[in-house]
Amino acid sequence: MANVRIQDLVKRFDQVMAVNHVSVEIREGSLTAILGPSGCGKTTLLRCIAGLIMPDDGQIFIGEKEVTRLEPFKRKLGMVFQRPSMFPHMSAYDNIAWALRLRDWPKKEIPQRVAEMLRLVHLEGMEKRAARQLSGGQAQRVVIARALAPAPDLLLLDEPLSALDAKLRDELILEIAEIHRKTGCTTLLVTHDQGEAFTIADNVLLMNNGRIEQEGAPLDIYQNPRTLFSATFIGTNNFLPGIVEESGDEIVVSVKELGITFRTKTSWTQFERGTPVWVCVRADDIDIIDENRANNYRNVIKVDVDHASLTGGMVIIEGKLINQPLRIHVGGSQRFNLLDIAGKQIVCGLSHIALIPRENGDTSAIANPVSSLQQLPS
Amino acid sequence: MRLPRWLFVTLNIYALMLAVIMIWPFLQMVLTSVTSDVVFPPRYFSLTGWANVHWDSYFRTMLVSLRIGFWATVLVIAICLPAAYAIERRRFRGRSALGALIFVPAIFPTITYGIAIGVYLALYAIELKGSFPLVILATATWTIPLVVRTIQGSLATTDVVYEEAALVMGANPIHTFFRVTLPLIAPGVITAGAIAFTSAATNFTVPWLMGSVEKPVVIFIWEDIGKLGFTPQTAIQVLVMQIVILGIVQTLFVVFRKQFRGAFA
Amino acid sequence: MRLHDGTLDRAGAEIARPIPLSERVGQWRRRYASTLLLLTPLLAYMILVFAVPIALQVMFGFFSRELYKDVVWKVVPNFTLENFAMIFSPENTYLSSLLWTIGVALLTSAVSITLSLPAAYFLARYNPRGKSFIEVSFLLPIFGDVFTLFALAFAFSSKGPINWFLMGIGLIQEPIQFVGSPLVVIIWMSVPTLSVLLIRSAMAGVDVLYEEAAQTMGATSLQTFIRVTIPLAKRGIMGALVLSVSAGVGAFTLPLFLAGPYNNWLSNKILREYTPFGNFPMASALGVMLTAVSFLFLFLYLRTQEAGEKS
Repeated sequence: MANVRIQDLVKRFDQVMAVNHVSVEIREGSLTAILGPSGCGKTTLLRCIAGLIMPDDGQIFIGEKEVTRLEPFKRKLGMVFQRPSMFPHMSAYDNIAWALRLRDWPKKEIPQRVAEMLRLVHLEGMEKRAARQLSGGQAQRVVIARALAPAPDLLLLDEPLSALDAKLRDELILEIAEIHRKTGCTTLLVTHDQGEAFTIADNVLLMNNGRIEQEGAPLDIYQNPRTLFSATFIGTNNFLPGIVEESGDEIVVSVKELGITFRTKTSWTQFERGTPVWVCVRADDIDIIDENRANNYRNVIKVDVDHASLTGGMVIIEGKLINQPLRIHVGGSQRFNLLDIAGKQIVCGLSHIALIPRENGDTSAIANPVSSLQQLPS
Repeated sequence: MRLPRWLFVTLNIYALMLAVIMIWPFLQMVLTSVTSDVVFPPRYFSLTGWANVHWDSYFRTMLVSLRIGFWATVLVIAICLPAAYAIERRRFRGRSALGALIFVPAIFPTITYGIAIGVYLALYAIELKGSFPLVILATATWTIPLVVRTIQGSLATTDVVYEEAALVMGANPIHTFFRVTLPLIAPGVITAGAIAFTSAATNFTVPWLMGSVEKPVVIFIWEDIGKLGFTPQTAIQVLVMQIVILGIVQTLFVVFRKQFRGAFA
Repeated sequence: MRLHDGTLDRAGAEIARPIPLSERVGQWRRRYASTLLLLTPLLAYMILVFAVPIALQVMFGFFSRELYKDVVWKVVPNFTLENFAMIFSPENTYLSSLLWTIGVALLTSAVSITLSLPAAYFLARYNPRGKSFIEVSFLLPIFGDVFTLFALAFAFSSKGPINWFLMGIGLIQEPIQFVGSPLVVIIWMSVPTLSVLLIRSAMAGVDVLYEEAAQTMGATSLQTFIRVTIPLAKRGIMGALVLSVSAGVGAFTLPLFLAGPYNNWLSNKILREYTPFGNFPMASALGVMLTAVSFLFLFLYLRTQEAGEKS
């Protein structure tokens, strides 16, 4: 078990900077998710750590040891791949036992260790099965067991669940969390699925264009996006262009176009007076309230509803705040009362708002609200 | 496309007919080997042809053929396996050009190559003319394109992720190749070996033009025909050659597949 | 691309930083040394055992020979086009031999490919009776054509099954002398063999969807086959055609065994120059011609493949 330190790492593919001067430290024993859209460099970063790709520049430390130019088989890692990688010519037992033999595990203890690992991934009694006799999920569990068996310094998971179907994915992600709790092995999970990352990670690295956009605990990243990318990539956000009017314990932002001011005491950083910012309001941080309860909220707005649609677990309301399009997600049993509110005006309290820096004159998010309200394909 | 019934049946018969033509050599040989002369339909069944073959010299030359086939196969697999791996798994400049270049012997006229080597030896190294190692070298050339292509195809359909997994698990590249890559591409390698073996063992042109000192069985049969013409005993000799060589190929398939599976199961 | 806080400068400066030679050599070695090592045996083999004899042969094609002590012919290393002039001179039979070889190869390949189209399509799309038998049968020619050669001699002999059949149905009165004449060679070259397998895999790669679309538009089976399937499988068909033509051009054992030692194929002319005539320069020059023709067809094939990639 060890921590990982990456300093100024660079990897180019032709002219594309796949990993662009990344520096980051991964705590010992943590479960860190590297989250980002496809092509953001997250898999390249992981493969650099594994040694399957040589970086062009920078350094990688696993524990105290520098491994930047070390061949993969000399690093003590476990890795699980996106594509099925359980050796088809070996049984489940042999897959795991070979991993142990390669790391010079005492010969006598191998059978016991294999049994222990199979128990960990709930595959007791499947020792003799070959890959073709196991389901996709079971084979992937064998690979997880194989990766963890020699007690590696670091477990690398490269989108381990994306080849599986949705239901199995939900089940296995919780199992990975449980395995991490039991073994305490430092784990790096690469994923493009924010649900996956937020469910189990205790630390999230958000990557875009080869760089780390933001790092932090899942809740922190969710509530306090620091860049436009973070805010658009995760969840559904509404953006309003504002100027900071008052700085201090409570920040006051005015949105001139709408003649509304917003207040917050929970901003992640102080903004100078006169700084242009985006006020971002998550679609699920907007509560529909009675007018007389408005005192409970720091910010209250009135929205004209255009359209409300039920998507199962929640209702998506599309409406307008004066003339700006706005999207609201409502869950819970309240949602069934909302299906016929099209055309009406509702009062909304904002339970949380976030402020992120905005370049002066940039109102692109407002100009094209639909594209800014990105939701990742899962 | 849905075909009318009559068309489907016609095409089916056509395909079967072509298939029968393909295996006709075998049927023809079996039939002729048990008749007293080469007239069709056979008039008298007789096994006298079997007694007339000079089995001593026949099997001596057969052994030469098998040795040529064996050594050519060993040689060609040894040089093509690493090359096919490099072409399929590594990225380097001129990779596709190399792939095309290796294909050249496949369309190269045999006679030209045979003569090229023959002339070269006749002029500069007359003492090496027809020597066994040179015959092996020259017959092996022929099989290179098919062998490289077959192994390459096998590698292309084997996901590189298995090799990456083994590397991360701590197996060095050579260990990875023999423990993971080779077992996974074994069927392709065996097929390639079988093709190389038959092709080299039954090659007529190259040993003949090089004046091979040790006569392979094909040349023996050819010379026999030159002396006696086409007789039932020619058919017997060809049939036995076919059975021995294809039989070895079959055994190769069965034995090696089992061994590969058994070693790692 | 929008970058923040001046990293563009850092990235730009990093790219511009000159890499010292020693490091570049090191990088190159890390990246390519093992690849080169893997390729070396094959490259060495191809150069020493294949390229060198061929290059020497090309060279010999431009040499001449002279009588040495009135007894033996000796190759003289003086550069001359004499051999090629002789090949193209109408007084000799070389040119007619070359044309005959190419003509027969083209004609028989065209017939053989045409005949294999329906069978290949049928095997690619349907599950006919005896499918596995058919497939195994077509694999047999891969494992040595020598067996076939001997069998053909029996099948086409004057008292063999082919003549028996033709006389039986009353097509001919007297048996035809197939063996010893070019006829049996031409017939066998026209029979579809390996090309069926090659074209089958090309046709299996064509999505059935296109055929179904054509049929819903009102095309008949035959129209669909000719206008949709064949054009879409063109590259595979061309590949089979080129292989067939180059095999036909280079055919040596087939004419030698079945059409006799005095046949008109160029390969046989080369053989006779080599032995018994011992005219090595002439044999080499003819060999160069034959090779050139093979490569011409390979070149044409590569052109069609490129055209296919662009479209």
